[in-house]
This record gives sequence, structure tokens and C-alpha cells, in this order.
Amino acid sequence: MTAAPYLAIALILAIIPLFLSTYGQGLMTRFLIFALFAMSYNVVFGYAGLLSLGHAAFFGAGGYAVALLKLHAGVDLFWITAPLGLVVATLVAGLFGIIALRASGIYFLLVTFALGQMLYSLAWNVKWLNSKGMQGITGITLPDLGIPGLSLDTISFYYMVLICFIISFVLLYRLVRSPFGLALVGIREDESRMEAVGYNTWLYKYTAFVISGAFAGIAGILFAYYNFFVSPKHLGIATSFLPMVMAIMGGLGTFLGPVIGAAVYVFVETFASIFLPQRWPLILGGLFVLTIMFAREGIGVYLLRIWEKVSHRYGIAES
Amino acid sequence: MKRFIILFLAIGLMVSPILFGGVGTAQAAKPIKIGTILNLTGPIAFIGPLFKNGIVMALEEVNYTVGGRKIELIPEDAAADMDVCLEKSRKLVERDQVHIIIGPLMGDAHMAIAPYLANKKVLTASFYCGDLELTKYKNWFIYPTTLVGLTAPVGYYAADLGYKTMITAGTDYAGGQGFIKGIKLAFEERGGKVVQQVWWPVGNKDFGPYLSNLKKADVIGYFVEGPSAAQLFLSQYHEFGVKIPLLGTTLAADMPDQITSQLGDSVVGLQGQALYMANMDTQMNKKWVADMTKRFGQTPGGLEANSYAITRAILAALKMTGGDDSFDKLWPALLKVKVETPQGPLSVSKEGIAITDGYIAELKKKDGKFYWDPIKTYKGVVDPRLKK
Amino acid sequence: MDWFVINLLNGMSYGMVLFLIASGMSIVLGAMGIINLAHGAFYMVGAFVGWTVAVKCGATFGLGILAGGLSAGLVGLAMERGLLRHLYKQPNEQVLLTFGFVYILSNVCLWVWGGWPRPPFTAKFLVGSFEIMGRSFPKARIAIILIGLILAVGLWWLQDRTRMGAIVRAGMDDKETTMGLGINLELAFAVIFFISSFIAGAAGVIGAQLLGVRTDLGMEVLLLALIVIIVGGVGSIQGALLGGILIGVIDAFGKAVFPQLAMFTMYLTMIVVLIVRPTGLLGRKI
Repeated sequence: MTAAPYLAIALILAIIPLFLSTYGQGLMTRFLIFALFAMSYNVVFGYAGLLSLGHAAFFGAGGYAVALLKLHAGVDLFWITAPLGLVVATLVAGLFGIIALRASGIYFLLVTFALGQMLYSLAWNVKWLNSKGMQGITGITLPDLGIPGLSLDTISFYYMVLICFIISFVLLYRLVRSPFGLALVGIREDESRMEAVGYNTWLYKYTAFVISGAFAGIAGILFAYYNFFVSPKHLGIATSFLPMVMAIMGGLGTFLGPVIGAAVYVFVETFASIFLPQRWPLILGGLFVLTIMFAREGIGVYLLRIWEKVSHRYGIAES
Repeated sequence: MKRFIILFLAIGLMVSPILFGGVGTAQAAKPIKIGTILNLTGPIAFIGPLFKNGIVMALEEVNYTVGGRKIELIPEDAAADMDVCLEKSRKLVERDQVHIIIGPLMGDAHMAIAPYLANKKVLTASFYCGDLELTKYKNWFIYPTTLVGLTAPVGYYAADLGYKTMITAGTDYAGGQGFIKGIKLAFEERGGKVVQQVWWPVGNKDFGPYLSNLKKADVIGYFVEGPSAAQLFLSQYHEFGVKIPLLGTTLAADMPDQITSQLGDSVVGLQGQALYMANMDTQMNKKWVADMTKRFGQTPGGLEANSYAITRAILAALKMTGGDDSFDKLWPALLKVKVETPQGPLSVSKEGIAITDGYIAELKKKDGKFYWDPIKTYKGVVDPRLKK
Repeated sequence: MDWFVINLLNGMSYGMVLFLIASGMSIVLGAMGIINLAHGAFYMVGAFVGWTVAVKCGATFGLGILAGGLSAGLVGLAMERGLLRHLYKQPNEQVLLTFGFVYILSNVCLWVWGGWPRPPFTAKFLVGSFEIMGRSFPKARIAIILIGLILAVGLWWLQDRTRMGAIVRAGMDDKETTMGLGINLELAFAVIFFISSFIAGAAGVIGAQLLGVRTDLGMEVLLLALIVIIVGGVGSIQGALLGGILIGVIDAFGKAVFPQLAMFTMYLTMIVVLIVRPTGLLGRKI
């Protein structure tokens, strides 16, 4: 697996935005953030096989940490907010993991849902967690990198996000290809067998859960800066569905699937809404259904298959 | 290897529309672009088109031209979701280069997008009130007045009717809290006393528990956050045989006719605050109602009147600046606007809050048709907190 | 004392609606292992159709319930036979598919019926209130409690005392053996799914009194169903009933005593049950 194709894509991602309006750059930023969110989810869902409906809890936790630091302490410095946000998200994941992993199968789903909704409910009701005059926290500005003379704007923020994305991508990739990642797949396929062979499956699942939550937290931190506000919704099920949908649509258990799923979702949602303002949910829902029926393993994998057929037909050399 | 070429192609394909979209907006826009963020999908999807109608009517009246420049209206769907509101705002500002945005409706969305829009210097008008907090950004045109100001007439009216004690009942979110505060402050200003404050969560369907646990009082001042909640609340109010009279706010009297006619006779006699009624007896209103009915095929209500008035005010400001829609020229012009609207006279305070008349209306039925009848006018309503 | 009774009755009527909503989803989840996120959307479809029949066309309320149930049942059947059938052991795909249907059905209802919400409605003879311990209580809510109880008994009977129920329970416990015994599980599943969706649709009409008729009911009702299932446990009528009533009553008293914490009491109950008994109070082990 050479690094060349990845570098090519990274290069493309780095160059394209220079030709776009700030709006387009914003969209690309959004895509990257959600791709990261979906990739984090893929660890617990695609690789460990745990269907979680509360992933937004960690995403939102990271975001809220950033927001609260801004609201109550006026902190803009990325080097303070990001680590703190990461710590918060990881702690939440650590706590929720202990509760959630007491259940399995359907109940795991329900438990993670419940935990996410609890956070949502807390964020809605507790005054300290809200800005004056709204549900949620507003007034977040682009982060301060502590480099004198450098203040961020749309394009530079995009590059910052891109860097975070690439770092996370590499880390997750190594994780997934490592013995740990392979063990996770083993647990997903047949947990009792893995136990029989001597693996502490609970520990593996828990670790996957926490790591997954941590990266979701990173996505959440970046999201808070992108979105300028956070709301309880970012902790609840409406947001928890998103990485799930993206991961499934793109191709579960493949590494790039979620990224593709995120791209499809973000762009279809944006453009369908602009061109068909009243019917776009129908388009989106229809897309989900079609994906399942015709590209069951995900759009990413489907595209891959097409490519393979095409290259085979035209005799392009196998690499 | 090939796996990633395919991915590159796929991503490239998806990104290309933006690429081309982005390139096109480089030149300066000749027409004045006005963006509007409406609810076209989501729980209050029927409201979007109504607001739009009001705007369209005002623009058609001036033939989409002011100060020698053409006007282009760009509608976007907010899906009643704060994130989408922000995304659409970004699109309108960064891609379409608008300097004026009308909407959105939701108070939470206002606060969410306010910092961004203030930063980008966009004149923003809320469709239906806004929190006093917004004035600190100095780019909001709050029509017809703040949340608190809008419901002040209810409080005054309750006191004027001789009520001494009140229970307030409202939806527990920023908007609801603001509206209830207006009733409370105004009622207390006239010597009344609020003995109980009942709050229910947003989206509450079952008012039974709340209606069953009310203390004794002369009147209930209430707010529900939408027509569906109003339907549920009012029907359950009757079911539970609550005897304390109701004085409603906003959505009470602004319920579009489709909904009023569905609640049946049980609501005849309901009184509440309204900022507009189709049968208000002014020359201007009569003509406007006729024009709107002819153009859109249904009698207009408070929602269309709101958006119409807002657009008229903006047009008046644009006329003053000679068609210059840059924020630094437009904002001071807006503050000087004085126009007549179907709702009554409109002027603007130095904070950007509109000063209009508030009305109390009563729901009556004649010849099988329901209508709201104005029974009292409060001139030049202002947020009680600003009076100090 | 009357405060207590009134709140209890409020809770029970809301609880019954919750039970009706959750029962179908719980059974399908337990019997077929299918996560049907569109269950709330079926409720919504039933509510709209029931409204059209009972209010717009002026037919009787009972007919409205029937129409609501039938329409939802047919939509459900179509979805199951056409699409879900291929996804039996694949929860991920089921999730995406049924979630897509939530979007689709919501938008279709918006398209067909328009965006304004319909007021709550009930049978004409149920309008009005009873005097209970000196306080007024709506007749329609009493009716909801009664209808709920009747349906609960009926479904329990179906589950525990009929061959169909036995098949379902056997299939839940051991699918291979059941099929090995020559039982046409496919047919059984189709019937179960139809019944489940039918109940959802009927619940939409019965519950219209409390929840109204809106295009955003799809997600909202789904959430309620999930909460009830978490508390009551998956796969049994008794579980759905217990879960529903418990949530309904806690919610009612919660609102009466801590009005500002309303939604919170529901979630709190959920978490407590999860910590104490992760499979729900009366859940079957999956």
C-alpha cells in the first residue's frame, strides 16, 4: 500500500480550495469535519461492530468544551481549548463506555441512545450551559493560534482543519491496520472465538469505544469553531445519526468509506436544499434507500467495483 | 493504486459544482440582492410561503426596482434548524454577496447567526420579533418589536380589565421566556401580581398535567410556540374545564385561517394580542388585503403583513440611500424610516427596534366564518425595559 | 387526593399511547430482530389518514382508526416485503433503510397534506369531560386508557395464547429449529410486521388527541418508542405496557412537581433502568 495515492489526494484537497469562493471553502471544511466524525465512528461501528446511537455525545462534548471556555472564560487560544476539549470528550467516552458495554446487541444501541439524550437534556436545561437568549452557546470565533500576527480566516482555518484531518487520518489508519485493529475485526466477526483464544474482548471493545469518542471529540472541537455556535442538538440523536448514515452509505468497515459517505451526504444535502428547497428530504431519504438496495456495501465500495470492472475491460495493468 | 484514483475522481466530481459556482461570483453584483431564510420544510413548513408572499408583494409593488437598481430576491430553506440557518446565511453572504437578509423566524437561530452576520455587516431583519440581546450587534432590524415588547399589551390589557392576579403559562425556551416576560413586566407595571409561573418544554403535547395543577388567579397569560401547540393547548384547556379566563399572545391571534377554522366554536370569544388583523379598518389595509387576496388566492394574515412591512421599511431605507445597499449607508437610513403599513404606522428606534402599534383582538364568528376583531389599540409599543 | 388521581389518570392516558406506539416496534425487534426506525413515521401516516377519514370526510372515529391502521400496515408491509426482507440479519442496512424512509414519508406527508398541523381530534361522542373527584377530566382520555387496555389484553392473548404467538416466541428464541419444524417463518414475519405497523397507524389516530397530527411526528414518536422500549424491555407486550405506563406516569407527576425538568424525568428514568437492568424491566435476553 503505497503512500503515493494518499499524497495525491492530500495535494488535491490542499489545492482545490484556492479556486473556490469562501462559501466553497466553508463547505470543504464542513466536509472534512464530518469525514473525521464519520471516520471516528467507523472505529467503533465498522471495525468493532458496535452499533452506537449516541456518538454525538462525544462530538458535542468536544464542541461544548470549546464553547464554554469561550463563554465563561473568554478563551480563544487553540492550544488550551483543543486539549481540554479532547480531554472532556475522552472522559465522557470513558464513562459512557463503561455503562454502555454492560449491554450488547440491541440494548447497546438503546443504551448509547439514552446516554446521548441525557447529555442533550442536560445541555438544554442547565442555565450554565447556555448563552443568554438561546438554547446553546453562540459567539464562538475562529481560534487563536498564539502565533503573533497570525489570525485565522476562512481559508487558513480550512488548512488548519485539513492538517488536523490528515493527522487523525494517519493515526486512525495505523490503528486500524495494527494488531489492535485486526483484533477488533476478529471480535466483530466472532467474539466468543476471540475470547476462547484468550483475548480480553471487553477491554478491546472499550478501548475502541474510547478512542472512537476521542476522535469524535476532535471533530466536535473543529466543528464548534466552524459553526460559531453549539446547541444541544449537537449532542442528541439527530446528530448521532449522521456519522452512522455516512459510514453506512460510504461503506462500512472500509477505511475510506466514511469519508466518501461524508462527501456524498454533505454535498447532496447542500445542493438538494438549494435547488429543491421543499423536496430535498425526499431526495436524501431516497438516496439512503437506493444506496442500500443497489450499493449495499456502500457507495465507496460500489464505485470501486465499477472502477475494477472498467479497468479490467480496458486492460489497465493491475497494481 | 487504482482504488485511490477512483476516489480522487469521485471527490473531484463532487467538488466540481462548487468550483464552478465559486468562480462565477467574482464580479461585483449590479442588482441589489436580498436574501431570505424561510421555513419551507420542517414542523412549521406552511409558514415559509406565507412570509415569502408578503415580501414578494412589497417587491412587486415597486417593480423590483429601487434607486435605479433592480432587486433580486434569493429565498433559502432553513428547515427550522439552527445549523442550516447558519449554512444558508454563509451561502447568501459569501456566494451570493447579499447585504440584506430577511429572516429567519426562530429566535435561537437569530442568536446563532448574529455574531457571524454582524461580522460580515449584513442588515438582518427578524420575521417576528427578536430578543433585546440582538441590539448589541447593531445590525438587526427587529420587527415589530422585541419579544418582551410584543406581549406588553397583553399585560396592560389584563390590568385594564381589572384583573389583579395572574398565572403565566408558557413554553420554556428563550423565545417563550421573552414573551412571557413581556406580559409579566407590563402587568406588574400596572400594579398586577403574578402568582404562579408555569413552564412546559418545547414540543410539549400533553398540557394535562399543567392544566390540572393551576392555582387560583384572575387570568392566565399564556404563550405557546406554534399553531400546533396552540391547537393542543386550547383544546385541552376546554377539555379540562379550566375556568380561569385566557389571554393569549402572538400566535394566538396570528394563527393563519387554516388553523382557526379547524378548532371550531370552542375558541369563539378568545382574546389575545395581535399585531395585525385582516379586517382592520384603514384605507391602506383594505387595499392591501384586496391586492394580496387577488395575487395569492387567500386572505392574508399577520405573517404576510409582517414580512410586507419589513420589506417596505427596507425599501424605504434603500430609497433614502439612493439604492446603496452597503451596510454603513443603509443602517442609519433605516433608523430614520417612517412608513405606513397595513398594520399601522412604523418608525424605528435608535437601537433598530421598530415602533408600531399593538392590538388586542377577539375571535368572533359571523356567517360561519371566523375572524379576529380588533377591540383595543396600544399606540407605539415599546419594550418596558427600554423605558427606564 | 384528587390531585393525585387526576395526575395518575393523565399519566396513564399518555402512557397508553406510548404503549401503543412502542408495542409494535418492540415485537418486531424481538421477533424479527429488525430495527425499524420508520415506526414513528408509520404512526404519522396513520394519523394523517385517520384525520382525513374521520375529520375531513366526516366518517366515524372508529373508521378513522381502522383507516389509519390499514394505511400504515400496508406501507409497512410494502416496505418489509419489498425491501427489508432482503436485510434480515443486517442491522446496519436496516437502520439506514428505515431511516431513509423517515425522511421520505415525512416529506410525502408534507407534499400530500401540506405543512400546517391538524388539531387534535377524537370521536364526537367523546368530546367533553367527566367530573372526577370535583375536577374535570376529558372523556377522550379515559377512552384512550380503555382502548389501550383492551388492545393490551388482545395483543397479550395473541402473544401468549395463540399459535401465531407461539410461533413468534419460538422464532425469537430459536429461529433455525422453528423453521426446521416446517413453519413458514417468512409468512409469519410478514404478518407480524403488518400487525406491528397497523398498531402504529391506529395509535396515530388514537393518540391524535394528545400528540396532534404533524409532519415531524416521525422522529419524535420514534424517540418516545425507543425510550419506552429501553425501560420496558424488548420483545414483549408486557414490557411495552409496563414501560409505557411507567414513563407516562412519571412524566405526568414530574411535570406536576418539577415543571421545569419535564423531559428530564423521562431520560432519568431511562438511565436508572439501564444501570440497574440493562435489558429493560421485562426484556427478553437477545
